[in-house]
Amino acid sequence: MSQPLGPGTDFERVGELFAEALEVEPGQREELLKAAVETSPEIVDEVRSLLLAHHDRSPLDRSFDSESAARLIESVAPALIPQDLVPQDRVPQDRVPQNPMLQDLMPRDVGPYRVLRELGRGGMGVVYLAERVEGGFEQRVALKLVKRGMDSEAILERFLRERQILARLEHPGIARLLDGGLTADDQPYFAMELVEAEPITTYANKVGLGLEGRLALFAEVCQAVQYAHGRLVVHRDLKPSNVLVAADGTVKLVDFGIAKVLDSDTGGAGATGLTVHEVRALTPEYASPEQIRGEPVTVVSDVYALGVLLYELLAGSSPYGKPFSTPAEIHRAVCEIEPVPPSGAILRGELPRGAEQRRLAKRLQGDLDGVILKALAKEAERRYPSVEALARDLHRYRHGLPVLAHQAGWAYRAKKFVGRHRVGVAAVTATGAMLVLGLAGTAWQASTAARERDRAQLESEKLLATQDYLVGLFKAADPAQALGQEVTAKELVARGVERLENELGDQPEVRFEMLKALSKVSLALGNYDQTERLLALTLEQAGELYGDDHVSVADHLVMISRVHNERGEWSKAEAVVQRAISIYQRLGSEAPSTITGARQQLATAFRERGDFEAAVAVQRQALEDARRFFGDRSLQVAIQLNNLGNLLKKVSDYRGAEDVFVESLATMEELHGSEHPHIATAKVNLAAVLSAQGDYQGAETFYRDGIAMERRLRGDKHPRLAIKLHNLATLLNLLGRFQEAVDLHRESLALIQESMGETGPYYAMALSSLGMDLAEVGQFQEAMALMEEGEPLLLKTLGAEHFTYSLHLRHRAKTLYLQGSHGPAIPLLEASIDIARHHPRKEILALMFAERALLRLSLGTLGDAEKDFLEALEIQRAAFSPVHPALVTSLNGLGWTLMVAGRSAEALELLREAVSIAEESLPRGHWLGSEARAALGAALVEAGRKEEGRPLLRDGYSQLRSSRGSDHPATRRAGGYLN
Amino acid sequence: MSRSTVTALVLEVSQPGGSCDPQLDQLIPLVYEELRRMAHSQLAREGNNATLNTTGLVHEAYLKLVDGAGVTRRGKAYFFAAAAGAMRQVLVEAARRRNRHKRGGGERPVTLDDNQLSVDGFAAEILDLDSALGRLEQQHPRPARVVECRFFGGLDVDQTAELLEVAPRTVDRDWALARAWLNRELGAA
Repeated sequence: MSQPLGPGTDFERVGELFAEALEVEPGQREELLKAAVETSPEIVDEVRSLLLAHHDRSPLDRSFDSESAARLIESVAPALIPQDLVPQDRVPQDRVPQNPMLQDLMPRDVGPYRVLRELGRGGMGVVYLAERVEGGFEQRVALKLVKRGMDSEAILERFLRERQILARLEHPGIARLLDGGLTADDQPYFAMELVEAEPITTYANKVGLGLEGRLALFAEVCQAVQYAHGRLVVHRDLKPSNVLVAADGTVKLVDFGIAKVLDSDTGGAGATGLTVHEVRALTPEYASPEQIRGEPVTVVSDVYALGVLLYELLAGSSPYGKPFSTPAEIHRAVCEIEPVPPSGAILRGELPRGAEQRRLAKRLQGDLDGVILKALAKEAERRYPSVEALARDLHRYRHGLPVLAHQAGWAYRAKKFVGRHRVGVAAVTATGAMLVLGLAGTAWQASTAARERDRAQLESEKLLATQDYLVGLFKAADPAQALGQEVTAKELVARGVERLENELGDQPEVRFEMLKALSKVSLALGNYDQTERLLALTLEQAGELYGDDHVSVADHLVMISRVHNERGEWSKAEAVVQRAISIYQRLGSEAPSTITGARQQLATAFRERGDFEAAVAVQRQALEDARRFFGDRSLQVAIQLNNLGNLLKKVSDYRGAEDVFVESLATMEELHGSEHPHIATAKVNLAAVLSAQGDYQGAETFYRDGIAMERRLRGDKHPRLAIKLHNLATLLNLLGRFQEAVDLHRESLALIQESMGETGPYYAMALSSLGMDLAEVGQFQEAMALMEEGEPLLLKTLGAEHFTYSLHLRHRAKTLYLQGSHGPAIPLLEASIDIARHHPRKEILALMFAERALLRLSLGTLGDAEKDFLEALEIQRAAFSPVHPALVTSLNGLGWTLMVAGRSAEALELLREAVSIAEESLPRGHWLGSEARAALGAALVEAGRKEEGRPLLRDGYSQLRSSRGSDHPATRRAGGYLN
Repeated sequence: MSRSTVTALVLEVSQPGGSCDPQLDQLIPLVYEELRRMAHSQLAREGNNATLNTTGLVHEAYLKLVDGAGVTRRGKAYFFAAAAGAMRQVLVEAARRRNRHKRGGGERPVTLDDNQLSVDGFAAEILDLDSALGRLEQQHPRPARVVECRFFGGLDVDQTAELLEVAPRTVDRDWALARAWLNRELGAA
């Protein structure tokens, strides 16, 4: 910003010159300004500065925020309108704090909050439990009162400025900052989401976490910090009391961004001195050298603080030993003294050290020492450049790969190599020739050390090359071409693939990394052909680099199996994933968490092939894995629960499935907030279970919710959407809304065609389902054509024994039935029943019995029809609640059958039941309800109760005619009794 | 509110050669009172999902406060300029009050909980804009007035041109200048 202009400045001239400059071509601007600079240089300076600001996006360009304006005025309304209009019951009732001793020290009201009790106190201030009661809604918060600074007003102002950013931090690992302000006596306060948790170090010691558990917990901390960094928020005050863990093991970071708000932003003012540091709101034991020196704070400062935290978590003491007592001591320790490696700290501790400590020290020695010391480097440039880099290195450690922190030099890397190839070394020992072994061993170690050194160097080169490659991808976008349109992820991947074919042949590791990344992106985009190509390349590259038995190979086999599964190639998926699982299993207890994903794919393959028992077993293993690796309240567990729910659904355990889905949905909403692809899927799954239990309306709500979310999140073209649309369409068929079902089936089919091609079973199924709904609305020709197209494909991909094929046969039979062609429909249904008998979903079998019975009823073979209906009813009554709408079809049919056979007294009872179920469980106007009423009316007429029966019959008939048309068999049956 | 007082003032400016500034100073507080009242009743009418229709309010206030007979375009324009200024004051006053609440200055705020943050953000924005606009006024009075009319009064370019008695093109230019100036002042990114 330029210097303020003096009062004598000719501002009008500024305005004129600015306007002139805007009107000439940008190229001529300089000329114009140069011409004026002679006479009035300060005006030209001002105009230049304004021209620079001219291109900015301006707050004035937004339209006036009339909503916020309304709320603003409303929020201060009581002050502006007469007092008697303010409701008096808004003032919350007094509450007595738990400890009367504290009453006088504890503030009663802080801003809009009522303080309940103290939760804790620390260097920066006191934390209270407080609540806010408004409009009957009670919100409990953790209220942090900060020690009074010199400039509370400035703190408040900064808070107001920061708040929008802070309010955007929505992450399960971060406690939300809700509010902030000044108390009546100018003390700054912050209101935060209330978290019942304890400091990470306390938690880890209390539950006795081992090294692996502590590292896993720390990884979660990193994730949360990384999330905030991604939103450009630096914590600045990470320490155990701000890194909390709840009883269920979830990490919650508190006080995010508060340090920045409290920190003085007059950068140079507080260069030295402890008093200033106190105001600067940092905790010396966790502050980075640059923070102590009062230099600018960046993400790398958080990396440092995380280093201290990890040090404490693993070694049980601070890197600087005892607490500081003087500013000079702080400065010296933090800025100058290199900390003792954590392994050393354990051994040198004051407490007696036993075998366990020695073992732990040994495990820390080398890699973990290296990682922590790299995070604690005095110079910011020597630290990990990001929290992600730190987390990645720890991840590498946990998976037995060399870490990038080469603190200990080549010798340590050689040790690492030997560690990972322990079997090989042992084999050499077994040869027994001591002398020879000694010499050979030394020579061998030296050469592998050299290899390992090269390797570590390669790791950093790999990172650089990968970065270069990525940057290249974005740069390659022709600016003229990209003008006015964003480069899509799809284009980037396509470009990446193209470049990979021609480049990087000389850097196989980089090529491998990139192939991996692109495969994942491509899969996420739903581009299966491309993904499969990429994965084949990746696998080849992994095999070349690491051999066929490496974890990397297994990981990629899992991805390939996923592609096969998504394309419906289940046998291929099974074969591939079994290979992956056997690689993992050879690793024994060292098997990485990716084995969960492998089991998930295997379960999918079993399930889709119809082997549900095997699928359930594998799925339960996957759920156990997930609980072990990720904890109960984790995304992985939510996903596995979801999968288990799907399987339970397949074996008709709908109650069980509903419970599992509800838990999964709740967990996901807790983890993700309200909007996420996983939540969309969970909702759709819950919908399916509700539908199966006969709650069609509830099901429709959840389907529509989930599908709308899916569309918002992934767009209208994602293959997963196709399956969801298909299932909603099927529900609409049950709801009797056939035209809507047709429309949705068409959308689903087009999507499947586009994203999965025309060769998979999903495509075939979609053809068949669309066909049946077309038949329901009387478009028989198209219906038949679609089914003829789908059938060979189903036979080819699934075979004649598959349950889905039986559904297709049922669709064909139903189409014939609706056309009035009853005879030829029967063998189709028999074939379909033969297949479905071996399938656990007996209620589908019941439906088939009922439909065969309807055909037999139409053909007049009443005895057979009755037998079928009874069989259907028996299954349905066993499987369903007594008011399940599926019963209506069977009851209607059996009622008609008995009536035709002259047993109208028996029919009456059944039809009354049908009418009442329809009223209770089906939407008003559903055609099955109309049929039930028509049939009941007919039965009453047959029983001689014409007065009662005729209106019902007439009513039901006319409803059937308008909803199903006069050619529908049900309409015809009712019509037959009317005359 | 005295309809006759306001009308008299507007009629006075309507006379050719009638001086404006003293009348404007008198007009703004009169319109302010009315606008504030109208804003509240508009919001009360619309309930929970209310929005503040500033343009509508300004026009409504004119119909309510001014007997149109004998009022020239110039007089009408003056009323609108005053109304825009008054609207700015209504919002700024509310924002200040809001801020005082935040500092625990006695009065308890009665707020909609969920929207707390966005309202506070908006209040802060209004206050920032108001004070920056005050500084802009010192250097470039007419561009500042243009912002007032367009942003707070919800008037479009032609209406603004008419009431400032300049060409629409000039309004555009003033707007560009004020926009750049305020961007710089508010450090907009």
